[in-house]
Amino acid sequence: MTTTAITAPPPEKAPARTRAGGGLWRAVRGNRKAMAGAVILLVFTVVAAFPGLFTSVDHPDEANFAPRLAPSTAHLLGTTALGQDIYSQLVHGTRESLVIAVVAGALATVLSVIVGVSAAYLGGLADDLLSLLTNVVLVIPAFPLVIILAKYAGKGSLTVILAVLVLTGWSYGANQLRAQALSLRNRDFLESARVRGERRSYIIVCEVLPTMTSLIVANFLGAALYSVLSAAGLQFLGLGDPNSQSWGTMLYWAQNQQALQTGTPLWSLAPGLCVALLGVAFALVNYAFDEIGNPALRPVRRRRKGA
Amino acid sequence: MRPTRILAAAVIGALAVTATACSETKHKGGSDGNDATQSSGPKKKGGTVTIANTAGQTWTCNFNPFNPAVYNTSIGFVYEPLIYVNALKNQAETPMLAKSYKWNADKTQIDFTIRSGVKWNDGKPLTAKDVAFTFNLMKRVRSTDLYALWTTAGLRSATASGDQVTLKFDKAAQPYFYAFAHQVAIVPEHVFGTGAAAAHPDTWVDKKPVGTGPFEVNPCSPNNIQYTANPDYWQQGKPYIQKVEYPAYLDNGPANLDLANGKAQWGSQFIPGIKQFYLDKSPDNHTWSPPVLNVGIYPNLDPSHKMSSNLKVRRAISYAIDRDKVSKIGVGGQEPAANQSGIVTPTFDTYYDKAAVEKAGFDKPDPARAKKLLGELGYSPSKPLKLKIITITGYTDWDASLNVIKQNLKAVGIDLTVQDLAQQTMVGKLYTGDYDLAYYNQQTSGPTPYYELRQMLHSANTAPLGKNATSNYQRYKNPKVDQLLNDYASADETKQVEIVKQVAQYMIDDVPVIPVVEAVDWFQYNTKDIAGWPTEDNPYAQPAAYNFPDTGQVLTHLYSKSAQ
Repeated sequence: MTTTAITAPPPEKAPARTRAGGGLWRAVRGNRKAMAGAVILLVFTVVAAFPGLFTSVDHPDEANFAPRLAPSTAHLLGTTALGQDIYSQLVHGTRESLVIAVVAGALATVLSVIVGVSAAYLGGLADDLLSLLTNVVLVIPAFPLVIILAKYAGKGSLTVILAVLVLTGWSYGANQLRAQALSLRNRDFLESARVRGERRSYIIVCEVLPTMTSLIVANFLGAALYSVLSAAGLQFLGLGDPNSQSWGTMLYWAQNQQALQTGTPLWSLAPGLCVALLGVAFALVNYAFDEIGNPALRPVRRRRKGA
Repeated sequence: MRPTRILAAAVIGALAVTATACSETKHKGGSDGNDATQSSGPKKKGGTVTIANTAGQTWTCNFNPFNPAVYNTSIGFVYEPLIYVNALKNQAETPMLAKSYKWNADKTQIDFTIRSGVKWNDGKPLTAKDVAFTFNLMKRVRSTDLYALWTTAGLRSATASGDQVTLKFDKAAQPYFYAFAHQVAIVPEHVFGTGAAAAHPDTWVDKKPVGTGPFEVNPCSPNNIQYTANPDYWQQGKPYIQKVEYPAYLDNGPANLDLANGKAQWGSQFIPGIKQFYLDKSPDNHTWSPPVLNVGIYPNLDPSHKMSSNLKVRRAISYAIDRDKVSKIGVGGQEPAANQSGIVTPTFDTYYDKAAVEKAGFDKPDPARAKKLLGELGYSPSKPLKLKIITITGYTDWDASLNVIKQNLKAVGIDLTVQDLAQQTMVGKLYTGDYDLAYYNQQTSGPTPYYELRQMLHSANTAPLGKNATSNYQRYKNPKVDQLLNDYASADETKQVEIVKQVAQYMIDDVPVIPVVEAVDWFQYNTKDIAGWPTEDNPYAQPAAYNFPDTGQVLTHLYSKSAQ
């Protein structure tokens, strides 16, 4: 997420401005769906940060139990065919899945902003080239490309997966942001900034971007959602590191051991549900931004803090 | 999905064969072990068998027996060897295209008597000339000499006269018997001696194979090979089965599903959770996977790799590994635990020296001893030795096994990092010696342990770092072991067993390779309509559908119950 510190705010004409941060919070709070999403995200964040609070198993990848045990008090979701506790794998897998979502989502968003807003503000040849690039990337079917890239980059490392997701996940956002930046381009407040003789970079960072906060955050949520699902898909296909702790990797192993057909369905279902739930959480929070992202509903102001 | 590992039993090394004179083994129809009421007399014809053996690609419809990429769909089905040697039954021999054979006293010359009355499936008779032609073709086009008969084995000439074929060698050639009698498929001169086939017998696309075997290809398409019974097959009344379907499965998933629901009767790949997935689905579903090789850790013995070349480290690893647990968790109990002597049991029990393994303390995991050894080098669980092991990505049973091994080693003070590499990258590193530890198995098995041991340990099979080693990847060099392996060729059977035991002792003393579990011939079979399968009680052939020419043995034993 972009954090911008405001230096010397320009004189304001509009009365009663609400700070963007407050607006976001209010939008989330006032919207039950968004609230639900935020709560789910919060829970996952806590689990990711402190897995030890939720399970006593420190090394969920170790084969310390009998294989294929049914759910019981000792093993809430049973054990895998490889003698690991499914519940503890789920808990420990949260971190990587969430990190992928946030980091890949954030980086993809940064890329979207750079490309989209620069294209809109610069105009001319630069705009043509950047738009062309955006549109080309936009029409390439993302998931097959992701698979090919991951395969060629050499599978395994988290960095590769993140890079692949960022490279394929920015174009949609860039298009949206460019459209909004274009509509802002000739507004009075930007005109006045130009007349004041502000530098171009200053105008983009301190004048244009804050106006687009809600759209940027919405884009971030979208990119994060895409990253969660794609990363799980990649890992499921075996393009991740099979020794890593994440929901996608759990799905991969479950599939490999034919979990659904050999009496351990929870091994597949549990991580699948978690991936879905995290995706749902990002989607629900997005509702809040539909509300404030629409200027007709609510004029958006500059923000002081990253939301 | 993990690709099927095909153990094409290609012999580049050397193989031992019993020195007993050729006993005319009677070709009995075996009882299938779960249908004891069936007598072993001749059977009525009928029925279809479907094979589920993951090919990993669509069929090229090439049945050239000199092409290792495709030969296991033709040898055994269409092309036949001179003598069938059963690796699972102490090298019991069944005469095929040769009625009998005779060695000279110093084992440098062998005379085969070729069976009369055998016809190629285009109606022409098989003669001794065809046999001599087959061997001479390998001399003319070296890339068809898959077993290095004209080079390593020292074959000098192959000549036919009447119904006799004589092979002359430079030196005692008995260990190569398995290669030239059992693995080489005899081809017809009137096909391979003319036109494109004669010009490039190695790359020629053999679409309509002309062989002597029990089946003919009829027809082949990219997604299925259909074989139909050869009506003029030389074994009277056989094959009983009239049709074999061999679909091209691209990965194990669909192949395993077809086995589970009975669509396919003959399986040859790893099925995870086989009990729930396959055996529990029907009382007619069975599995029997005899072990043939070792899967294990290949440590780099070159002195530049300080830790893996240190005997203490290697012994510590071998002591630390709980092989039974690896077998239970890593491969779902479907591959038995191996032992440090490298002798695959129970297949080669004759050669196994249990006392020697026990004496060295390798009969059960001994973490305390491993800790002590590592302690002497200054490592402990709190200050672990860091080692990397390379493995092939997609071999999930290996990944799961390594997960257990990693855990075992962590407890004694070794921090193992598993690197999953693409197959070509991994074997590239392995061949050139660019690794510390590698998880691997030899690609070819033989009828006695000598063969795998020779591949692993003979210095002729290694190379300096940076050059490709053929099979001694860990760079083990020991003149005494070389000498023992060389003496094997001219030794008699008792002496051969003795030699293998001595070599196994070096495996225990020097730990040049650390066997973990035993690689098996994957085999699942369904007895709802088809009977006559090889079983543990009647192991008349290696059972997996990728073993040639064993497929020919299995296909001439199978019969349909409903047709009787």
